[in-house]
Amino acid sequence: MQVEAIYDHGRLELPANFRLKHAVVNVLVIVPDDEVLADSPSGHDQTAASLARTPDQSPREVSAPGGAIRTAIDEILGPWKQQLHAGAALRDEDFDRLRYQALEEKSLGRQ
Amino acid sequence: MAANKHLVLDASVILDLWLRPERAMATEALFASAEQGRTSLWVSAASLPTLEFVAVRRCKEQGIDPTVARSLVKRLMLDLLNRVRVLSNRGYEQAELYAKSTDFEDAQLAASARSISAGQVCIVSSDAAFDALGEFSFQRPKQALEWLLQESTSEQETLSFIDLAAQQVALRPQIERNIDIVLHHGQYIMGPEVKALEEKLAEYSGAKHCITVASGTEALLISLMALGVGAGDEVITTPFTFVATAEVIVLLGAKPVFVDIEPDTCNIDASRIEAAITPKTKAIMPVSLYGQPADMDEINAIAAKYKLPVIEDAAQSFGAEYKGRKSCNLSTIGCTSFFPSKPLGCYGDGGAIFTSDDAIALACREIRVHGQSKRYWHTRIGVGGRMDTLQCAVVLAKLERFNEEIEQRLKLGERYQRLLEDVPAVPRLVVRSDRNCVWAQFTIQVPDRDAFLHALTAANIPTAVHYPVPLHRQPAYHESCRVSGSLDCSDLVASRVVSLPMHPYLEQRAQERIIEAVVRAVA
Repeated sequence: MQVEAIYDHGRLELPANFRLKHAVVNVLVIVPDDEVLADSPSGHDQTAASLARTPDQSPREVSAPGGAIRTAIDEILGPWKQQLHAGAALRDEDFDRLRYQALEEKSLGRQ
Repeated sequence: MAANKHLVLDASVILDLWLRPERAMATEALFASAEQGRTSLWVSAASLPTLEFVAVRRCKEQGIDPTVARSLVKRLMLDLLNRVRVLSNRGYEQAELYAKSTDFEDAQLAASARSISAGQVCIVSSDAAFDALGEFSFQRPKQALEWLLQESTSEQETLSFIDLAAQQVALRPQIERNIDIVLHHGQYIMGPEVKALEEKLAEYSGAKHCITVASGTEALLISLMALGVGAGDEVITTPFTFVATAEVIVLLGAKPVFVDIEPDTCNIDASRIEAAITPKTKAIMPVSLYGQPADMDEINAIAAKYKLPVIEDAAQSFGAEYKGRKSCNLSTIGCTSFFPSKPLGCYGDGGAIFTSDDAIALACREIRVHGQSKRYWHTRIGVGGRMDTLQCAVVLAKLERFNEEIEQRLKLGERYQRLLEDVPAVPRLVVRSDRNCVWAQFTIQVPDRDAFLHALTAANIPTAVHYPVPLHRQPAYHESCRVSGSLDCSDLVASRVVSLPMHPYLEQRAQERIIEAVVRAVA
């Protein structure tokens, strides 16, 4: 369903008599384009962030969306996280190269 | 409960999650959404080797020791497999798939997604193009996230009366696993799953013995045979039930004696049973209709007074409770059915007999295998009444989610009841305070049933009538039954009952839509 809400200094206020079952609920917020400052995160980031925000949380209070999966991955990588992500960011063509190299290594047994 | 929207994640999306976190924010949100039960995440088994190869290669490329790299990726894979469900690829379709695909790996993923036979399916890929075989939409993670947030229930969509497909999706890995195990060991009759199921069901019900049989009808027949019911005997039961209840009595040459029902629960009126007892009476067979146990204490007391056994026909009530005890363990014998639409159903016919009487249990076990006490030694007249191993394997898989499904049935039933409180034109089934109802059917009564059925059909809401003609009015039973007292309640109720869609995967909005249609139909 759609309801009108007011954005007020970082808080999203839903109608006074509007009650939700859970304390944390995903909401999708449509913001008028002419209200968005140029350096704001993209709509993509806004959509993702909305999944973890409660109506009474300011953006600062919002934990990273998908925090559980990211925390788990970071814990697994541990001290090797920095090393894995060091250097230039992976491009799409790097993935193709990695795939070919990985298959070649596997198929030819070059361990 | 299971989500209605399913996302199948391509390898590219997982690799981004692991290797390009700056590109994976939307994917992280998809995982968060799955944790909240808003979607189900799947990966294809075909994607898993690629994930491993590429991730290990990247780790090594970044200077991480190969042994450490493999260990890290193994942990990442195991973590992933704890968060998503895996879709199988089937050997029989590979040749055709290869021939028609433009990208074989993509096509394998799309083909595996065919197993998700209910709800909406979207493939999520970071790639610009994806060979989804023309069968599925594919989206980037960000678009998939927006798709998740869209309202999914169409007001025009025809609802399912019983949504077995949604249940199958929720249980797919367990069902595939159990069926594969049977195909592997090949013991299709009386295989290990039969014994395993009987042990689990006996434990669940609290009865000492569970004997699986070929159907709910077979459970009733074998039970009567085990009790020695035969020609000239009488069995007291209700006329407002599925025909199998009385059919098995007549098949044995005995006579069903019909006693009227309570109009509010539709179960047999225990206060009328004693008047129906004669020297010919050999058993009392109440039916726990729609999923609510009958007045078993009162019935058992009457039976004890006349030294009669009681068979609870619990075809619709497995999982229900009566004064803290489970249906099927409320009398001498309890019989249930695993017909697919039942609260605990298989993928064919199946049933079970429950008893705590050792002699009856032994008799039932022998009767179901042609009355043999040992191979080719027949001490009783029996039937070929075994439940096959594959069906037991299916029920074992479904049992893993059964408690959750019963809980959901109870909640949905209560919600239906609450929503109908303000509709006086629609009398609801009364659930006695000392028991519950697992709502095998959610059945209401309406004054003008034909008009009502027409209105609901026009609103794309399926209905059923359980049951339109009581058994004493059935042509085959005119001569073969005895009527005890008036059966006015059975006649009246049979002319008014209508069952509404009911299953554990019924969504709240769909339930509201059903009630809105009911209200309009009776206005």
